[in-house]
Amino acid sequence: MNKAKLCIFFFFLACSIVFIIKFISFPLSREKVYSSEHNIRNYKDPRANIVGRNGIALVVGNGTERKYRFGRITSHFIGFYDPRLGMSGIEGDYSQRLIDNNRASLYYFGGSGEDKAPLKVTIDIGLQKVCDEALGGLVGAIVVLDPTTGEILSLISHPNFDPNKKDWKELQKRGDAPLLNRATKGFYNPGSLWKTIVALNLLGKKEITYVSPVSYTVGDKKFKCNHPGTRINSLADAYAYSDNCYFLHRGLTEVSVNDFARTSNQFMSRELPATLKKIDYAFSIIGQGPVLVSPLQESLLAGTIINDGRMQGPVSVKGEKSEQRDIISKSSALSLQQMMVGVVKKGTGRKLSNFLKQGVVGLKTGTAEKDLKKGKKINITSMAGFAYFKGKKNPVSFAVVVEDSRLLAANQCSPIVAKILNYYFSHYKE
Amino acid sequence: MLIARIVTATILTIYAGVLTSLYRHRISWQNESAVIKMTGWICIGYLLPLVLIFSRNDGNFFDFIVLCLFCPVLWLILGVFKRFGYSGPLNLFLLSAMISAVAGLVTQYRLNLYIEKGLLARFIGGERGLPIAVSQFIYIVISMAVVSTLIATGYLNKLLSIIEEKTDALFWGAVSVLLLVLLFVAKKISGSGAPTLLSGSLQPTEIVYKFCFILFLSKYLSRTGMAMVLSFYPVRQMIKEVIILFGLICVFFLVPMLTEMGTALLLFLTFTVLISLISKRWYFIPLGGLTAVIGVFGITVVSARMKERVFHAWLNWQEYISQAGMQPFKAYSAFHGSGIFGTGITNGYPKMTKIASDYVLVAVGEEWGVIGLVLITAGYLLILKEVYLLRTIKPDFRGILLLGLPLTIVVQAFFHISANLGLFVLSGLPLPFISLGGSAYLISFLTVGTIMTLMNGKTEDAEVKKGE
Repeated sequence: MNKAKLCIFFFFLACSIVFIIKFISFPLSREKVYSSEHNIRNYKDPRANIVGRNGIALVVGNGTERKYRFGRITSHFIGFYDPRLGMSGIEGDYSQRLIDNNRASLYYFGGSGEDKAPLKVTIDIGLQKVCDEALGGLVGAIVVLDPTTGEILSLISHPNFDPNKKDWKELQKRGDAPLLNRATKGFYNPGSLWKTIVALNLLGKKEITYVSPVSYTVGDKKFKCNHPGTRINSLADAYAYSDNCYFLHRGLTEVSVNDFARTSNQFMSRELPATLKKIDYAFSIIGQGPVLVSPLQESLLAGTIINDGRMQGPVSVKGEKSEQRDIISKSSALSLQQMMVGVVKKGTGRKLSNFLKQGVVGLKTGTAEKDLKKGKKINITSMAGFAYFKGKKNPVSFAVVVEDSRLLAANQCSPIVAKILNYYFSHYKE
Repeated sequence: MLIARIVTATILTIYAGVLTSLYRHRISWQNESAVIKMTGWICIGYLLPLVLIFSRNDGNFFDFIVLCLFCPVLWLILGVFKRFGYSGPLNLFLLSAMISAVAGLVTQYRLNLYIEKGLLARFIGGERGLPIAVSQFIYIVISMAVVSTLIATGYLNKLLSIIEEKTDALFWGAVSVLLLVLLFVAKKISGSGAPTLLSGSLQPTEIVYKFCFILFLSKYLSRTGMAMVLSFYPVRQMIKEVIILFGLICVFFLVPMLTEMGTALLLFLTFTVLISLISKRWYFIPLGGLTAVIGVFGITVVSARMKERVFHAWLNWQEYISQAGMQPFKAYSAFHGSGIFGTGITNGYPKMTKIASDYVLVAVGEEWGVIGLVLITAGYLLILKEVYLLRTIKPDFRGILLLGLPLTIVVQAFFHISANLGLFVLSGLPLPFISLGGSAYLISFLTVGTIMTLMNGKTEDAEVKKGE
């Protein structure tokens, strides 16, 4: 028995040696696992600089010490990397590229470490500054995209933070979540903006004349109508004035939940089930209830419409290929473009109609209600749209979301979008 | 940070020193200064990282104060042995106390997570639940106090005598079936895990594996005298006997445990090792290992969950990196980034799901490095060594029990380690004394206590014989 016991003991000892060899094999292996926040080498290996689309350096550094030249303005796009907090933004997603770029250059340039190949990102720092100022002290997000390439021209989330300060503990303790990238990870009810989905499903169907009542009842819920007593002759008018009851009426009677959910899910990461209850479907039609989208997804919706139905997935690094998906037929996209321009001409976006002299602007507004304590309510306002110069030159799509607003989207977001469009029409002509 | 690395190196040195001492010397109250010295080193090795974690803002003040109480409590519990005049060696007790404090409590405090499930969390947890470190602390202290009292007063020995004389193998088989059926019914009623009140606190499978199964085997093998003669049987007859025994194990343990694949696998592997030891036929180990692997792949055909674990999370994790492969990827990244010498306590990035339980070795390995892994495995091997290298064991009930109990801890620990390192499929088994657990602590300490009682009984017998 003694010999047998000894053998068993040595069997387990051999297992331990296998464990140790396996453990050592991890650090010695050449497998690329840089882009994980767990890998401490992310914080030790020197990284390359980051430059914007116009060649302006955004992040410069020596080794692992990095200076974020535009601090707060680029905080959510560039992100941060810190051993105690993890990684985010470009610093997180392209960690491997940043390290590899640096390594390659060190090799080719005799290890001087000076001539690093910088990572060129897609944001336009000028536009980024304008967006940051336009949002000011409001809580929300702005995304501006080039819909033909999917390149992100500007991405702003407020409140933001200064990555140079590295005051992570304090930032984490704050109640307003400054580290959360609201542009990509903030999911909001888009409100009337989502009527675009219903409109898309109603295109090609017979137009009706609808006299808007005071309210529209679904189950035991009464939905207030925006324009009681108004005669609405076309879908385009209803879209321009954003009439809830028109869309509820036609959506519930003419569009199946399945079709609505299928179209919605093309733009949403939190998918809608095809088995929505009638009341949830009614809320979804007006962009409330289970419909939750990020500002980036809203800008992709507008981008798909202006890009004749083809969605170009978002790209944040120059030279990277965008994922293409044909989502809407060209004719439907063209009709929606007309309807969105109609919103600016005569509807809820008419405060921006003076920009129509400089080019073409189309958009849709959306105001969703958020419940607060003691029955109080506050608004989440959204505006998503597109702009281009005559001849469909240099198009951009944009989305603006402002949280906790007491105003309607038309009043809250119009001044912000006006500043963005001002910059666009003066700088993007060529 | 350099200070974290220095502290980690110091702790690892202390850990290694204590392990060496426990390996080389017999620590008992007959040599009081040795007990004091050993307890002192354990407490230093425990308090140093606590202070480091607290000073780096990773832990909160309340937890820190509660956890510091471990040192006086350990001393008081050791006093229980002295109070009742226990003269046996305390090596195993000190070893398990050190693993659960220096590796377990420190790791849980560093992770700074909260538990919502379980008895304690429901009664004394706040809005976020109860800090895992505090919950562990309470369970460890209660377990140590209960087990030390049972050993020192001799009640555990008496209990073993009653089990030896009054119970039968079939009785333990029936208890196992009853417990497993109860678990199954509770799952059906509550719809998840275990009964609502006890979920997260009570693991019937742990009791079945660590006690019912080993008691069943010990009773069966000693009653039939098989333990004595199995190795002398002709091969054909021996295989026949083993197959009959395996059939009984299937009926009483494996089949009712099918929903708990991990424990069933553990039980089978322990059986394989024990039977190869008693029969002195080594081919049982590779044969058992092969059967386990075939079994695991066989189950993937009928169980979608197992299929995901084997093919998505283990074998092809790279292809499923955004789904089931995410957790293994994070674990391997942590090992990759830890370097050979680890990042140092508080320098790692232990943020992944189930890091406090199923993946606790990742948290330890990342910060402690390969030396930490060596020390963790050495700790478990030391439990095995106490029985397998030092003792002459009779092939009776107590002897087989003594052989089986350390195996349950070591096989479970090695299973956990190999799963975390990607050497075998992950099945959600905790690492004894370190992973998040409730009653698992009591059971582990009770296992150690039983081993101590069994070993001490042997010593006393030997001394009596010597005296005669």
